[in-house]
Amino acid sequence: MSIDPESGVRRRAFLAGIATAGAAAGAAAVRGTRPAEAAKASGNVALPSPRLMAAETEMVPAGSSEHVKNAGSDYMVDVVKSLGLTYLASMPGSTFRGIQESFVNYGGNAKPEWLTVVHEEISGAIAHGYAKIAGRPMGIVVHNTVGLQHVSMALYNAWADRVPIFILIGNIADAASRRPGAEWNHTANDVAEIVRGYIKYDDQPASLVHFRESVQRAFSLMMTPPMGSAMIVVDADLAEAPMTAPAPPIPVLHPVRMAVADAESIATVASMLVNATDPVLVSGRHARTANGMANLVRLAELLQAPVVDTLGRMNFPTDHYLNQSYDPAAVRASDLIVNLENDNLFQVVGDVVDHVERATRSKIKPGTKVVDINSELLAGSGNYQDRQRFYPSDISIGADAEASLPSLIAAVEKALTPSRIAQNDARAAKYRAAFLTRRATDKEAAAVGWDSSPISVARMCMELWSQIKHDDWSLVSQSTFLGAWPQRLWDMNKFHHYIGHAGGAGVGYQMGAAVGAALANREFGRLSVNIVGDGELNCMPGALWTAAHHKIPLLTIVHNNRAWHQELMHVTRIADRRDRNPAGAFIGTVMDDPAIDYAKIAQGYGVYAEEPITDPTRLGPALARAIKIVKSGKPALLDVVTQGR
Amino acid sequence: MRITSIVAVCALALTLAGSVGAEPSRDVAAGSALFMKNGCYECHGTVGQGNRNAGVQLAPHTLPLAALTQQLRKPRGEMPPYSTALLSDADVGKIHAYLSSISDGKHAAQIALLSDVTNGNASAGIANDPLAAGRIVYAQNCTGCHGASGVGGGIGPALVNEKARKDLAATIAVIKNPKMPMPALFPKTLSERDVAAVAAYVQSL
Repeated sequence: MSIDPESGVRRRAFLAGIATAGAAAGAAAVRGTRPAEAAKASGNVALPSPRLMAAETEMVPAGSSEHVKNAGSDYMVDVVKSLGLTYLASMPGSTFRGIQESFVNYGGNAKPEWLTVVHEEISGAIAHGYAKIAGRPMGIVVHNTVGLQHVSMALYNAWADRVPIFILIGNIADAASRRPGAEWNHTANDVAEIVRGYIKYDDQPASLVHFRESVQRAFSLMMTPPMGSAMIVVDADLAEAPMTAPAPPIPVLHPVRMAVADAESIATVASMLVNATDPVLVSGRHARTANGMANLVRLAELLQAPVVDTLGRMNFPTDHYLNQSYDPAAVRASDLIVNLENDNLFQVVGDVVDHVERATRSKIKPGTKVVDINSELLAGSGNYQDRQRFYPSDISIGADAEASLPSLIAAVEKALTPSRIAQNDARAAKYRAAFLTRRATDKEAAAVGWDSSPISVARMCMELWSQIKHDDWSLVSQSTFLGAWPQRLWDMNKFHHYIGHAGGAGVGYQMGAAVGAALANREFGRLSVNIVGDGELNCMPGALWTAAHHKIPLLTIVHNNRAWHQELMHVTRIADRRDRNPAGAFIGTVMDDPAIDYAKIAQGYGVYAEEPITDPTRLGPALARAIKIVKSGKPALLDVVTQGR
Repeated sequence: MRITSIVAVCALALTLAGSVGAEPSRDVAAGSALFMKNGCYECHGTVGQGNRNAGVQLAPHTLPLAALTQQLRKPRGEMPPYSTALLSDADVGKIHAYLSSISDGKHAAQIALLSDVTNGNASAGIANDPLAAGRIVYAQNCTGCHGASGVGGGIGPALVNEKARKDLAATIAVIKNPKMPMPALFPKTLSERDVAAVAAYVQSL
């Protein structure tokens, strides 16, 4: 068996694979089938395109000084196709012109398809939202230096939200080949330095073999929890010049298996759960799939234990009586808290009060045990403080929680005794009653100010709910500034009913993330709805154009409180403390003179929109009209003038 | 928000809310303006509806003036203080007049979009919930100060395990004849039946 000294792949097996499939692939190419689709994986080796097969068996002349055949970026495209990406989002940039041309012409602009985006930060946010619904990453392609600077905040949000994005960035490494001017401005010796604090891996390949290995390594690292982004620097010369050696083979990339908690730890935790008087299960983003959600329901029901969902993902149904997320009594009474992939364990058990003296307070009673099953424990980070305050758990298990739940469920089933099972009816009754109280309370709270103008946030949410609840819907925005009304009053019980928050709380995430999530929902025919704050929308309204251009059905409702309201409250608080004019807080925190007309902005981007809505009785009919547009396959926007919160 | 906008929102709050008297007195109008100008609305909403993540509900069933003043001067919870340098006692009185003018608007049962809200799968195991009436009375009148499920809300004390401190009769007595700062809701807002129901519910916490 001969081994390729560069790649380590069994070369004889690779060539045999070409011999058996080459004829079929060639015929497909004649019929017009895209090369990459015709070349199916065979054994453990993915077949290259006819062009690369030719390059493998007979060298193609490099061509004249005007023409290039057999460009390196064609091979790069085949490597990227081995990752199974569906889309690449990008705003143009000349440093990656070689690989862009290869993706659209050589690669047939399919798997991945090139999405046109008007700002790099939007590319990052679209990829962020897409991954949370699709369960697989999107790629983005950015211009060297300035493009990466633009997208950096979106990458930080994705990092803090443990969402992977595959990043390609152009570069011209060889100073002698750079044209004077912009090509020097848009080159860096170590461009990844800009974002290295919040991506998992980067490399700057110097050869095509190096490129292939780095891309596949990048993808494996990205998909290992805690997931994160990876960036490959595409050297423009390597991409644009013809290949001078046979195309290296591209091995099939097998997915990484998740780290699962060890059997002994699982048995210990199961015993603690069964023997606790008031166990509470807390989840931040343990659910990566619908399975993760279903397994948490199973575990909670086995124990009749309340669940606190901190809403990093759709972890637990909001209409299940064991969902006690909004009742602090559950945590306060608990003697055992099991934390699943929640990156802010400290906030579950304690808090720091926003007083002049920032005192720490506990939310749990003395002696409460805490178990943390968390892939966060498997990765380090330094500069950025997104890991939140440390809490010393009694047992810390570095493992993926979703992957560990089946064995934890089995261990709990084994540990349950008849006497413990006999307690479950009483537990269920207690939590059913608490749930009913909470729903009754929340309904009454929503009724207050129902007819007010500006329109109450509760009414805005409930008008929307009344018109989507019979569809297969997906809320592709965060509830952070909505008073969590959807979680409190909507029946959210499918994984795609909610995509969680921005991760890094960076304003500018929402509109792009919604477009990305709606794109992923499109193939399932789901109705995607997005409630976006005006401050958020102003950071990246251009995402609307991408939705219009690529015909992505998405209903956007602008929660237009004409302010950066959180910041307004902060500055008012400080003025109050200092006995100074609280009205001074309005300077720099409000957007009301002139009031911004988001409908006109949306219309400018080619999106259906209606004039700003201030009268709550007009909201229902406007929603019906907008939803009709969305169901026809297009985006629509309603500008709703709302209460601050 | 500039003063012109504040005035505009005040006017909207007074005329469009549908929960404010048709001809507000001068104090009510002045109180509404002060409520906006001093940023009270930022956390509590323009009609005092409150918000889970920012500020408690202030209307209807507004705290007595003395209790409101106490909360402004030496707040409990995370609310920032408003000294007399920012709000005179007279101004607080006007704000109180505004909040008190906000009448008891619609309840959830009168709003189709809210009465349609389900109880999820919680009702399945409770055939006849003896505390149902008390839960609703509590939700409509008590949550603002005592928090959902009696866990405390920053203004009123927690009521969890209240039965260890007061029996049913004593709980009823407190509701009927409250001490400051608790508002007296009986008999104007709560009937004998409501008081009995909510007291039974509080005893269950």
